[in-house]
Amino acid sequence: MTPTTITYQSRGSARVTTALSRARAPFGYLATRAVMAAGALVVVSILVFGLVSLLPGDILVSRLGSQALPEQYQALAAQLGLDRPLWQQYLDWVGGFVRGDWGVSWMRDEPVSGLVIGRLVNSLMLGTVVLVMLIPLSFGLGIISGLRPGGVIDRVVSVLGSALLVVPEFVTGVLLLMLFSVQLKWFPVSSAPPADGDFFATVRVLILPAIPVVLASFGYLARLIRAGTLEVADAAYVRTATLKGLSRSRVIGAHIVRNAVPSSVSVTLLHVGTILGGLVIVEQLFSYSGLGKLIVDSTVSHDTPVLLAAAMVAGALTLAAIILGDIMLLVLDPRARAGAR
Amino acid sequence: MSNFALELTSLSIDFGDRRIIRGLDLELGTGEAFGIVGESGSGKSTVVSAVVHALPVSGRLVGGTVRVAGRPVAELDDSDLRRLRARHVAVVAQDPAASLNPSMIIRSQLLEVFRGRADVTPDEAARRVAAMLERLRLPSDSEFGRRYPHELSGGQQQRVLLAMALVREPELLILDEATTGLDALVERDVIGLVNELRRERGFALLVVSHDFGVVRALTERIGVLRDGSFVEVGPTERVLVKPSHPYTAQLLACAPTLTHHRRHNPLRPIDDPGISGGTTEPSATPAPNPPRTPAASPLVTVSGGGKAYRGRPVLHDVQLEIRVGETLGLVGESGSGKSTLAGLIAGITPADTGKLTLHGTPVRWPLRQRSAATIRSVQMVFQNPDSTLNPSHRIRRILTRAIRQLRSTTTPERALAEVGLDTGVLEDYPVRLSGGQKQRVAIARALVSEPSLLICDEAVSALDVSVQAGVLALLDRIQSTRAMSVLFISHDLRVVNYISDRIAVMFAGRLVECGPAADLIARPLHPYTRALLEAASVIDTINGPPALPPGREPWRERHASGEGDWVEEAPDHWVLRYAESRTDPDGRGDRHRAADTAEPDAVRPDSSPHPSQPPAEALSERTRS
Repeated sequence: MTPTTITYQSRGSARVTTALSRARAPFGYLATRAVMAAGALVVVSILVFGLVSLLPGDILVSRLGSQALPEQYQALAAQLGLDRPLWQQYLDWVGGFVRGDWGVSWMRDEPVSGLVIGRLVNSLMLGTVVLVMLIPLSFGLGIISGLRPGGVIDRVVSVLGSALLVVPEFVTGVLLLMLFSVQLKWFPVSSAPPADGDFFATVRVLILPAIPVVLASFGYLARLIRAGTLEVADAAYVRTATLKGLSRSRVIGAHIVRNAVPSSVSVTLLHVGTILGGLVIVEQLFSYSGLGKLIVDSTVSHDTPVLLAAAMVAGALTLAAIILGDIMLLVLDPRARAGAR
Repeated sequence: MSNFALELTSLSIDFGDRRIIRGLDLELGTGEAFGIVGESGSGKSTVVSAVVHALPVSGRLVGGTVRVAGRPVAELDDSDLRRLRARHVAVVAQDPAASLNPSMIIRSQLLEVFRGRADVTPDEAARRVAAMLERLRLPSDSEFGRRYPHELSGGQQQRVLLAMALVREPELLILDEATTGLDALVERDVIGLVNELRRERGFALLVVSHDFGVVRALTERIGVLRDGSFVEVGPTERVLVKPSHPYTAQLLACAPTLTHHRRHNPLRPIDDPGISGGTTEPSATPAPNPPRTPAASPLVTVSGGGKAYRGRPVLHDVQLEIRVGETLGLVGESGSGKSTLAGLIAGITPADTGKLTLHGTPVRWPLRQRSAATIRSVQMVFQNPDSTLNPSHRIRRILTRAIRQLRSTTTPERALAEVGLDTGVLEDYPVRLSGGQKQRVAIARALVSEPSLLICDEAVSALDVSVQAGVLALLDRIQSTRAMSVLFISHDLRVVNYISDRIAVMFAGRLVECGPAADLIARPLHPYTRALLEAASVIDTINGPPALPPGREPWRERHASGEGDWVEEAPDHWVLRYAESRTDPDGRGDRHRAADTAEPDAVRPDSSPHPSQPPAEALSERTRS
């Protein structure tokens, strides 16, 4: 390009600000979404509470052993509030949860809130590493595949993506552990984050557990973005742009990718629930003390207050991601803003 | 350098094994205007793609050359091709809404044209864009520039695309069905602007269209394309008035003008099922006029019909009567509420207010609350047969389902015979059928219950003129054999006038005029009807209409404010009158006066080589012979 090439596109934050200010506040729309999410959270709380109370096994037995006296069992049940009707237990729990009183772990004698929040932070770190690897990889390859359908990259991505889609995280996880930790010793077998919180050391520990989750979602997202790109590449406005005499890179960047990405971003955020599911598995596999491992451990040990709180936080996180997806769409797609008014 | 803006020499193009363009020759001199007319499948859009060297991947240039401004486009390397597109040739395509990037503001899309051009500074680019916007009578202020395409009207979008094309100052402008789908007034406006600008700047113009009227209004020479080659090339007026090739004559005989009417000057559909989509109707004996008593009994009445979406009214206090055995044409621009009104009567969209009667008895708006007999008596045909016929059902199943659901006693075979289709298609899926055949199946499906009212919502708008003529003749024949009323909705006044006994005109959610077709066309009372007629007749007759600025018309404001009375000004001829217009006995609006007093030399481009315009009467003589 010549030195006098002109770029007119206003960029970055300035653009987003104008976009939002011009949107004449789709806040009503967002408020509706938030209310809907809150309703969903209530449903989640009932489901979680119901399912937890259906769990096989008995906290009284696991705390006192099977040889205790009936009076001892009754006393502990009364202490934990288990002698009251289920609906009352539920209301007590919800009431406490909303006020920030998440109770005390039955197994560890520490407040649930501190425990869950600490684990949440760990999971968010791992989740961030997953997204940092997953998004560029799936978006990049998905876009390239969509621009040249039937090309070499498209075929490789398509075959590899479908293959990885059917291999669960615990298979790839075990294989990676065997290869890189046991054989090559490049990464530690256990992925406890270092106590000093050194950034690079932490990231290094998190890479290996992140890979199985990335691989499991890559095929799905890449295919999604490929389809979006293909659709946009066929649009009349892309032909208009090409016939303006624009360079191929400009056509791809400002016209194809710019319009293919918004819907893909919001669908990716819809996919966060699945990614959380993957984290449950790899955290267990790599002994990483995150939210997923906490859910599994507290289920096994019948630590109901911890399990309830952890499951609610996971649910809230997923719903937050979905709302973020809506907001991203509003920011990125002017037509969505118009529709939301 | 040659003097030709465009030169095609024995151009041949294949798609796969099929030859789409067969040895096409065309020379378009600097500043000349040439029109390519053809039906779908004739290869006209392929020609455009070849000129800008943008054939789809399956298309292959197998012979001949394309030269634009002297440059052989197929031999250019990437950067020269970009240069050619950025400076020498510009295309304005159909569907302006889809042709603009939805997530880029207008200003950026316009300025993008100058990207990579070292000879134009940013200031100069901004200045040129502003000047072009102003020239096209668009706002050139920054508020407008910051809008996204969806915040513009269809006409503004098309003018932005025109600005994008012309700001490059190309030697060749290509209009590829550029006015198809635009409202009549907008279409007329765009045509006027292109003619003005061509006069000013002297670019060559290639117009590709299925519409003779559009090509006639824009060009001096014309080529009729069929199966990839020209059957006839010549001066536009000569070809249209005295076609020398039978195919041209046949096509022209299918295209309705305001002088055609099914009852006294019917079109002559091409007698070939492969073209018209079915058996041609015997139209040699014009159907007799229906009894023209104003007191003909009403079949359907709508009184005070109103409908709002999200608090925004789309229909306002509509009074409408459809009489037994008549065809009532409903015309208006997109968004005027025509389809909403059709949906109301058909029961698809329940009205918020108002009453509906059928045969004098009240009918509830929602379909679910209607009796089976009512549902059987009101049936509908939609615009796009592709999306109204279930693609995974065979034609037989589509028809038998309708027969069962509507508790009819007919058979699929008889239903097809009724619409002039061979029973051979019964076992086909819709995808195997042509557009005309599909629309005939859709009509057959609507007719199985022998409805007393058939609603045709833009039912012929997506069809080629030859197919359209066949379907119009079919509707005429069906109506003359059954005592059926038709509500015929279209944005095209020429088609509505052709088929209708009475015409109702809608504007912005209100009925503005309603009267006997001949009377309404001869003596339009409402300013909007007059504007529509002017647009239609301009496209029919004059080479290059004067483009009028969309001047301030006081009636529009009064219309929007909901004022006005429904007055019977002539026998059976009703009009919406606003307070002031009643003091204006002649009833002529500002717009009309402006048209009458336009400078005579603004009517025709200076570059127009042919001497004089044949009067409109000459045209109707031709079509009668």
